[in-house]
Amino acid sequence: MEGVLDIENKKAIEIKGLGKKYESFNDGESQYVLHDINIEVMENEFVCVLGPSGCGKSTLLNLISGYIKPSDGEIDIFGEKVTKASGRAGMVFQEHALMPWLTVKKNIMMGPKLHHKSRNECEEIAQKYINMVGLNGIENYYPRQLSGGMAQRVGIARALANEPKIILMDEPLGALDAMTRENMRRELLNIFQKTKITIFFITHSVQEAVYLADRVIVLKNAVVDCDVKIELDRPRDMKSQTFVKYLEYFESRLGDIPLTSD
Amino acid sequence: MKKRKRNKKELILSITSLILFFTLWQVATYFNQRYGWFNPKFLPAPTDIIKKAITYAGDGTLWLHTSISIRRILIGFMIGGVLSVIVGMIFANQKLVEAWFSPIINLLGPIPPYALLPIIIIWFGIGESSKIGLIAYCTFMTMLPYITDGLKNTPPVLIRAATSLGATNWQIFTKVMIPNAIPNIFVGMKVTLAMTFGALMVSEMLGASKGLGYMIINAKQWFKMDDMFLAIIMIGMIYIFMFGIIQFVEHIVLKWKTDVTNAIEK
Repeated sequence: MEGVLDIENKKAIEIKGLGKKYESFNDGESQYVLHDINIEVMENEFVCVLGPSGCGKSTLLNLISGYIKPSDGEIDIFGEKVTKASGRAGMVFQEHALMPWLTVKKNIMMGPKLHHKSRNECEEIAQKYINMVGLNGIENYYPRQLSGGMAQRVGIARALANEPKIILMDEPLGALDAMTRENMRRELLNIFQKTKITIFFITHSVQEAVYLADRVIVLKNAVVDCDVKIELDRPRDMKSQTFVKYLEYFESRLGDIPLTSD
Repeated sequence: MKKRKRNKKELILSITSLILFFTLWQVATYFNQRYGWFNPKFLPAPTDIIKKAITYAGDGTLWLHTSISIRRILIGFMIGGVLSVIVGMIFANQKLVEAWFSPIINLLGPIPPYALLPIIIIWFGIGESSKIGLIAYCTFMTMLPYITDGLKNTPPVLIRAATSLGATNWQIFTKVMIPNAIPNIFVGMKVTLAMTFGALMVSEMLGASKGLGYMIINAKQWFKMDDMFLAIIMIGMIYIFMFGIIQFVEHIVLKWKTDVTNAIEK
């Protein structure tokens, strides 16, 4: 029993007093894009970070993945400090970032291959995620031959195939059309429930955040504005009263900053 | 299926165009001989050149000159190509090395490599090494920027993606940067080939006793126009052949890129 509790309470990501400042182009003074950020993400949690463009949400993600270095504070992933870019957390990019010279299948196999797994094992893993994400029949296509939604599926499958405990997603559905977007949301939740991974998801769509997340964190003016648990059972009905209440709440928190709705 | 049909049509067209060109040439020389527009020796007929080719093929002269030119160009192109790939890789990875050497390369770059041949001959003699050296140098200088650019212009997001999958620096280089540079390397090879042939000609025209370039210079001495045209045609054929090989390999290697549908189907 204690063991179970242990797993349940494990912190996947712990952000402590995180700050990032950039020098301004005009006067050379440095300005905070993120200031004193404190966030904890538990294992198996789906956390959405919501904010208008320019609020520093992508910077936050780049800090967690180690692509850029913090000015103050630190980030721990499963208790270990992030010091450099590594494969500890999977990434899904808005522009999907597939290797254009690799087929769908080979893109998905990339992670396992980098870790020198045997050919059979790589194939097996790739097949598993091809089935899960629904890419059967297009395994041998090249990225340029795929539609936006399909390419993003491959991006997700590629991240999953590396079997990370955490996946960071940087507006993965941002570039998709409304219909594909809605399908992808549903599928993403399916995958989340099947794999039991931790997802740290960045979006500028309030609706998307409330639909997907266990917890929504609003970033505004370089600081955490609010951190709210979404008490709704899945699948969520986007027309239900509580859902709309959440939407209204977040919209009011974001204030008069114009948001792209979908 | 439709694509293949169009290719076939294009092939027929280009063959017809070539036949037409040589026929016109033949007809022009015929009328020139008849009406004496200009000295008929200046422009031999294609049939004369073919006759000459058959004679030279019989006594081995043709093969002697052609084979040595092919040998020089292959060795020079390979040495220059391989060196430029190696140096390009070092430059792309070691900023300090590049900072040290790129000023020198930038200084030498604008100088037409052919201008260096007399110096090379004085330093290294008139043997094979100075000829192959010039060809390799020419190839190297032309190809290097294509390789460094290709490696350096790797989209950062691809490097980030590979890192997030756990790639080491070396793996990023071999699995992301090199594949990303390959299209550029092929462009570089195709552009460079013309320069390489230029170097071959120059090196064979100065201080050589064999090769197609020598054949041209020698023919000029003796006013053998047929020989000149024959040598020129041989050079053209070797060029087309080598270009074709590069293109063929490119088509296979860059299937992900070349296998595209037309922007606008007709």
